[in-house]
Amino acid sequence: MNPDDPKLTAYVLDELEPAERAEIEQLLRDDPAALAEINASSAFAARLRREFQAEITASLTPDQRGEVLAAATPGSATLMDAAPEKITPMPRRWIRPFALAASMAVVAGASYVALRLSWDAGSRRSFAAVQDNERSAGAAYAPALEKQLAQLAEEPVSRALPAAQPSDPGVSLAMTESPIAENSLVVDQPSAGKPVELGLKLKVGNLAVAGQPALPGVDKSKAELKADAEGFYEKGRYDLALKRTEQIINIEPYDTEARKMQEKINQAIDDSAVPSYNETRSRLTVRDELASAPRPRAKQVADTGAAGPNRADGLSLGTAPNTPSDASGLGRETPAEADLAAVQIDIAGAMASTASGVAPSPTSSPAPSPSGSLASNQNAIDTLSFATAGGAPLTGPAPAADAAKAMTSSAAPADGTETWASQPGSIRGFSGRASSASSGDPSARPTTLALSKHPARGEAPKAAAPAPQQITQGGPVPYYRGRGIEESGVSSFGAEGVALQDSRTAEYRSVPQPEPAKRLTLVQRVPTESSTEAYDAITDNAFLSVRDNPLSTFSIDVDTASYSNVRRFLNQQQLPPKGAVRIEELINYFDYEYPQPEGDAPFSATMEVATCPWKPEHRLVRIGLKGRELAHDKRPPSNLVFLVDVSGSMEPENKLPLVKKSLRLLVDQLSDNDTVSIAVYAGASGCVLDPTNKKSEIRAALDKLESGGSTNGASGIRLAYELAEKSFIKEGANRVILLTDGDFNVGITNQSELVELIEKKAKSGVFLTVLGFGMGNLKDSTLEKLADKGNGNYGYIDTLLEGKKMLVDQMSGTLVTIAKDVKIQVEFNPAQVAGYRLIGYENRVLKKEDFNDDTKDAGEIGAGHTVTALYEVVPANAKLPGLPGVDPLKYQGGARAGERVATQRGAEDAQAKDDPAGRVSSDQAPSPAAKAASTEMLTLKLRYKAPQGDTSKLLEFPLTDDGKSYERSSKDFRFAAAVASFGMLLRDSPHKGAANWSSTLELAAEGKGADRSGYRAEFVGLVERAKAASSR
Amino acid sequence: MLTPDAPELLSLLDRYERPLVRYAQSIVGDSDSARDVVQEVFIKLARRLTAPVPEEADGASTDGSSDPATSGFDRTRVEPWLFTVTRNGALDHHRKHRRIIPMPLPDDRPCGAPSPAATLESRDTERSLLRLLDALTENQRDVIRLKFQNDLSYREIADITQLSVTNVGFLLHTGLKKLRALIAEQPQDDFGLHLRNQAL
Repeated sequence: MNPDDPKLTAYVLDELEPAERAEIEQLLRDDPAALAEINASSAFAARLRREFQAEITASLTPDQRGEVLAAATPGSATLMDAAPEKITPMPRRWIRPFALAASMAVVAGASYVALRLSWDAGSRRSFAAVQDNERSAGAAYAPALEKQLAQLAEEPVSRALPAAQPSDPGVSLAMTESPIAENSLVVDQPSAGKPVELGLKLKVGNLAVAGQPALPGVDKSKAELKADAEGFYEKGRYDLALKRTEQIINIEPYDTEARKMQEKINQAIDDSAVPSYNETRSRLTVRDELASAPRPRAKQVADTGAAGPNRADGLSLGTAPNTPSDASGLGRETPAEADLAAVQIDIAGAMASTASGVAPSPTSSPAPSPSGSLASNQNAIDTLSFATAGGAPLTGPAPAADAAKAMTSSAAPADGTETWASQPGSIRGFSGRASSASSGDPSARPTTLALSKHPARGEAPKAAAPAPQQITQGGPVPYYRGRGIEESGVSSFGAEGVALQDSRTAEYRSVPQPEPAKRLTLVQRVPTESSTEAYDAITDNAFLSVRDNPLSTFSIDVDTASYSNVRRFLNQQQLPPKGAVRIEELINYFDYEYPQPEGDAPFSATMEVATCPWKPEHRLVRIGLKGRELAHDKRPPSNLVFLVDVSGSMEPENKLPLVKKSLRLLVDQLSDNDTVSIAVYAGASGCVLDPTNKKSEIRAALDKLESGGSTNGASGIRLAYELAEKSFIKEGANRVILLTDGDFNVGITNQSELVELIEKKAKSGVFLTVLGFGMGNLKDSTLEKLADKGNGNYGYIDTLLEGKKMLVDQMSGTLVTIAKDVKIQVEFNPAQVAGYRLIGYENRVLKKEDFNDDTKDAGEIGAGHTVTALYEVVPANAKLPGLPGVDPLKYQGGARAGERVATQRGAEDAQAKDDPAGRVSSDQAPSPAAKAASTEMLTLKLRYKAPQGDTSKLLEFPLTDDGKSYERSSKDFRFAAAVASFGMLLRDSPHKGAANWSSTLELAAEGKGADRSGYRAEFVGLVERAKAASSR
Repeated sequence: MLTPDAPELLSLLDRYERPLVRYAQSIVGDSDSARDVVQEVFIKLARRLTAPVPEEADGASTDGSSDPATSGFDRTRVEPWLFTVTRNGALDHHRKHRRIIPMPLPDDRPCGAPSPAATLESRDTERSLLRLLDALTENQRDVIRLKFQNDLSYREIADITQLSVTNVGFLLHTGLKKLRALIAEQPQDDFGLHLRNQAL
């Protein structure tokens, strides 16, 4: 026989047809050399398999799993609900060993059961057959087989895909005459109600030919002990398993298998800390961010599905009771104990519903209550478990049923009834407190404490053991938040983690799921602390004294991104980070009924003053600008360059696909006069579509866009500007529209360079509109700056509806700039006003001298855009709140201050007259007369440039406070006030005064008006969500 | 809403994510890229599962015509499909990023780490195994991995690697032979204190 025949290997690997196999076996009988070769070869194959299977493997990150699941959720990103999206994964590599152990447990458990069940029936019978053939050596085979089986059982993971292997059920088992026995096992799974075939190929190689006589007695008992050890190991009875291996070692000190087994057991004991920690953390993650934890839950479910009792044991038994001495020995007297018990209830509850695949377990039944976030979240968790269990048809062998039942009953204490007696071991010791804990305040659940029970055993690494103790001492902490862990790193189960979570919880707690329909958010990811979204910190504008700062100057801002971003957060049951709330963008999201401009002016100005709703002693001034509306057919030709980020991060449904859909909407609106080109950038940038006005080509190019690679934003922007210049339309709107999630992670990431480039190009007449997409690594601050410098606007498109609003409904506003560098300067009259506060526009505030400086960039206003600014004004007779403690100035009397203002105004007039460019002073020529000034509250001054112009024009509008009460204010006024107080509440502004969610709702309801577009109604909904989110 | 396919997807995800990541990692080298590759695979799978009919239009957007992601999708043969798509994705990725030399990550196991002895031992064997594998050809490595790590049949391996069944058998045979020869040269490490002592 040729030793180089690949058939030999195929034979060893059991890849031959029966006929060929028989042929080889025939040959092997006569060829001892080949036989030896085969034996060596199969031994080697076994070793190779073992080592390969032992390779440590990473799994997907939870976020990646979330995205996968989102991909199975068609249409989720198209409308109101945004799909999950990639966020920076938290470090989870240390889960690998756990996963490995779990999968080992799975398979080894199966093999154990197979061994037990099929031993007598199968193997013995095949021995009989063998004995018939080889009478003389027959007796020796039994131990040999046993040894082989034990050995095989030790390489459990090799069968990691039990159900995927269609085995030949039974046939070869009973009939086999060859030395190869195939055992397969069908397990009925009563709890799942379905028979589940657990295909288990236990190939026992070549024992007939291996035929070396062994010491039957010793080997047999050793093999039995090993089988027992395996069994206990699989059941999670690590202590007993250890004992068995010790017994083996007593018999045979050099038994490497036994020693390895021992290590495995010890490791499993160590590792059980990980799953329990993992479990509890994932639970809490679920609790707080329902959407974000498909991975851990799913993991658990699937493991249960595949493993049945092993997982069930591993969790409910394995986490605590399996090492009874440890579990009960620790934490008895600490407050942690109740929490541990609570954890177990949670786990048990979840296990019950997953393992048994029936209706949600009792834990889930409590209806949402005032403190109901827990209860309702629990509902959701169970629902998820349930849903997934239903689809994971694999459940374990019979013991799973028992385990599941046990778990079901163990879930009961959550309702206050004690049925822990069904639980083995120390769990009983917890029962009393467990129920009290679970029926008590849900906030007393720092469930990670389960962790502390396990590392205590033996070789627990030092890092793990002390840390949990600290938690225990940390006392009751409302919620254990993921952030704490992440921020302080992996070893942070300790005090810092706890401390952090205290301070952070308020911000990120979730809203109770109000109705079942909402649970679909389960697979959706909310941006969490682990995301890389970037927001600049914003400090609210403070009250300024008119005496010290009579002028308030700022640039207008027509961006609306903050609103849609805030909406995205609230729709995901979270309060947005404070930095994401820019009040002016919230207010400007809405249209207000301002009159069309008269004459040549590109925009009109409207002012209204009435009682400040959240501080009745103050006045609220609303300044509204309205850009001239352009009839659709009057829109000048546009030269548009779509610059699309196609980096890998744009893959999710709510990014590139949404980009494509949104752009299609825009293309539908374009006319033949408009030119479109498309550039993309990722690792490199490229032109996808040369300037064209053929819509079919544009659409085809859009369809081809695919994502992948990193993000080199700068080169893409350069290319886009080149394209724009190529087809520059002198009298038209030239604009680059950047569509991105804002993550410039390659190339020039230096913002100032980018900004410089964009500023330069903006001067050349090509403006930049930035549309942000997606979440998770949305670089809000970067995008806003780019749009600001590029003379464009910044929108955030979270849904196709929002895309429609930006690109269709407000298309001309987005595309056609009617005035640029629009600055507002308000001069307050100290005779009427003691102080004021500009609400919002924190990052738009200009120095007072910038107002007249035409080189200073400011905001643009598009056709039909409205811009609204609110001032909270302190009347002269009221006390100015919270001013820095400077004593009144001795030499700056009221009269003198007035004089100074007048002087300044005079100077401005002079400047205006001297200006050769002929700055237009409005008809209301400034009246510096002290008498008029004393009745006026303020004067609004506007400067703007024509889109192509370089010199600014000036408009002035005085405002006299007619003492209007709040009741007589307009609907728009009230609505703007509602949005402002909403923003202040979200930002937890120090100036929110009496504003609260209810008053905001009232204001919004009063100001809602006709609301043809439905945006105001949506706002009311958001306020309600925010109210719910913040009340926990 | 979760579609009816989501549970199926979940179970597939749970069953195959690790084997696939491991397999992808064997091609691309680092686990993060491997995860990305596998994520793509599952997203494709998810789309397949949720697509009402196998989409023809989709084919235009991907480049490789041999990519089974764009050809027919047979639900009964998910496993080979997954491995094939993973392999293609990983090879693709590898081609694109070959120049990037991944740095080995530190062994980061904050808790539940094995005892030092176990770590040492597994590291030793792992290392020797990995080192030995490197001596094989790419094809040999590939089939050996698919066979021993993922327990696929010759037929399935042939489908995945686009080799013939005979070729797979041959590669396995020669690969194993070579490995055995190499391992025979290695010092025994099975708790082999006594052996080593004897050698001294």
